[in-house]
Amino acid sequence: MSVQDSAIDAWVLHRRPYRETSLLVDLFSRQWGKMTLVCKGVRGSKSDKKSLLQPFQPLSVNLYGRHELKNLRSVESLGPRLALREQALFCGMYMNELLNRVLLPQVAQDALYAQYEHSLLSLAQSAPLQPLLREFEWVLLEDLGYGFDWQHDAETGTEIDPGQTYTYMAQQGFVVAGTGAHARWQGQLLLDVAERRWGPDSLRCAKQVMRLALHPLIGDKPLKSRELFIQLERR
Amino acid sequence: MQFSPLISALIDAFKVLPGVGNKTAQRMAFHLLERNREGALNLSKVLHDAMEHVRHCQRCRTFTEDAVCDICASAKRADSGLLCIVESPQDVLAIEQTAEYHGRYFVLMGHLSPIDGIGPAEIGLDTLAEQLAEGGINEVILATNPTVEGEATAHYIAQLCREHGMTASRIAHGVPVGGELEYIDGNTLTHAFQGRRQL
Repeated sequence: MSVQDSAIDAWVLHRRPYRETSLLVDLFSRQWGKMTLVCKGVRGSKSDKKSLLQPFQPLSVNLYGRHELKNLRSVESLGPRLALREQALFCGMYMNELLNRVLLPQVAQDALYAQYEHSLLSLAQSAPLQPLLREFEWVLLEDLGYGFDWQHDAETGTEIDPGQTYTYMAQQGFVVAGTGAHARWQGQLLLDVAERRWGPDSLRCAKQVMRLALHPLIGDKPLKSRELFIQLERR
Repeated sequence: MQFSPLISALIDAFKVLPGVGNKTAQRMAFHLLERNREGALNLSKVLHDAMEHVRHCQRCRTFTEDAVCDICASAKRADSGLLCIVESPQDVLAIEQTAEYHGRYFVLMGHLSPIDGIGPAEIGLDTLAEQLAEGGINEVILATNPTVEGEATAHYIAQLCREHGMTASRIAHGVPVGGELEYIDGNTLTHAFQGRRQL
């Protein structure tokens, strides 16, 4: 089966102007993962596709082209655009930036796609933001092969002891913290995160661990969307 | 065929213009050489002056060769207590042509777009926060584009305004005047319904 044969379900991650009236659009699709396409003539005043080709709008697209950069044949909406506001909108932009940074072109990520869709719908229904982002990051790490076990010691394989202090080893998991380890958490907190019992402490722990675990994927250049939150929290 | 070095340089130079490729650049270069040398000399002088002297207005960030642009310098506009926030200098022009608005502007020169590396600092929101803190503004009108990035920018600035105890309003989105409902895309129509007003 090739990309051209059938309609593809997708969400727009990002779009940028291309030439006078075209757009370059990055999609996250169910069938083909991330893809980039040229949408010709959609910025003109006569086209109504520019309102569809926006983030947070469920789409069905038909493409053509033999190279990695595809062309848009047609696009239809699969439902209303999600009305994200304020913090929920910033969270949506954060997920898009994260996906745009870490996804490889044309590799389908079924679990991650389902989680992305679920997260966006929850955002639109004003679900609590922090647990939603952490669970999204969790599925992202697992689906990209960077997952690790929250319930067992990575060195010995024994279950995490609630009373013990642990530290995170990149791409392996948790080990008992030596005296020199600067990032350390109580075993109980790790088990809370594993069971998704969210409270202020377990959320902070999950955030710190996710930050460390995402680092090899994101690299040294931090995600810009984080600034939207940092600046608001500071004020 | 190879052109002489000066002609090649001229053609290459024209290619900095948006939408101008090799062929158009050649046509421009030969047109000026054959038919309008005077105009071309004038162009080069004006181009040079503008590039040397046009800067950003210290208050609203739009383009001007003075320290503060005419709109910001006007006392009448400052008295209105209105501040309209737009993405580009072209937007200022479009609003000015309606002759409907008599307040001041703040030009972001872009919108929040984290994927492209554009955060709050890049669009001058620290300058805006200082101006909000100075006072003299009663209402902030958010006239950013109805795109996801424009909405995010509007929400972010609205939060800033709330912290300074100011009201922020968003311009309405909806059906173009003289248009027909049947040809309007669903998202715009949804907005139009959500923003309906009692008559």
